[in-house]
Amino acid sequence: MTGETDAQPATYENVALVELVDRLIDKGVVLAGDITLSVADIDLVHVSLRLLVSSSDRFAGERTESVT
Amino acid sequence: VRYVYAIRAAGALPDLRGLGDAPVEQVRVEDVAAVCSASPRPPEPDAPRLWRHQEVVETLMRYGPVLPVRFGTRLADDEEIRTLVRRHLPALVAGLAAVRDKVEVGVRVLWAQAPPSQPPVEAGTGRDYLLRRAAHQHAEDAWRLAAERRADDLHGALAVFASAATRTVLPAPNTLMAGAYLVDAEQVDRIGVAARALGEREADLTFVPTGPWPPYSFAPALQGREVDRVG
Repeated sequence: MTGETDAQPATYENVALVELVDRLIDKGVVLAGDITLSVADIDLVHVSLRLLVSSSDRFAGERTESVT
Repeated sequence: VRYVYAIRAAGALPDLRGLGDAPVEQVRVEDVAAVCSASPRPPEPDAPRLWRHQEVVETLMRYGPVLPVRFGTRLADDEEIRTLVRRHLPALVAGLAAVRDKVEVGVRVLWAQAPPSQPPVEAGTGRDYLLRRAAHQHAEDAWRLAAERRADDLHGALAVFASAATRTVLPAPNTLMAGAYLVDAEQVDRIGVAARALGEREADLTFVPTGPWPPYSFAPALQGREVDRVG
């Protein structure tokens, strides 16, 4: 499950969205075994995005609310 | 019920609001703390909540090593948190040591090389059909093998900047590789520059670096099972 169910050409924006959701939903410590969320539950269009920021402002992030 | 955001090295906790604006607290077990807040109901996985989880983890990352916990993790009470943290304490302590002063950078490599198309359904004998099927399978295998070799090379070139690295080959047809790299927090730029240089060299590929992230992809596997993609 990677959330990449569409076959459309990827853009920078939806790449960043996939990266975010992939981490939150598919990665991280699994303390309890009963988490039932899947990437398919997430509406990617409504998730903010981030691309690589330089180390000088590495925790500030660059977020852009997608306009829908 | 407690919602858990992350495991961190125990220390002073900044003033944070979590899901539902609930105050963020921590439950200590020896030198490790689980960061959590009250959670009356399971969170919907929508944008504001995903971001709130991410922001809590990211803020904690400024104060010391942190292992993000998977979104949606709810435990009955502080006692259950203590029990689970204590059960996995050695793995969590080792995991925290491995990510100290490090961040995760993602590099997604996009390509335009579509997989071989399916053979058309045509009239013909069963033998013709089977031959076409075999030819298609052969072409697809060759396409996949070429992708894996190329991804290995690229991943190797990026992994030299990382203390740990992981990648998935062909997570989607338009994506040759999705790599994650655990790098020194002070040297995030180096792998970004390297990815861009690879992008200039490999004209048919697009490199998209993202991050810095908390080390989601380098959280230790607990309960004796691999924390990995499902499906």
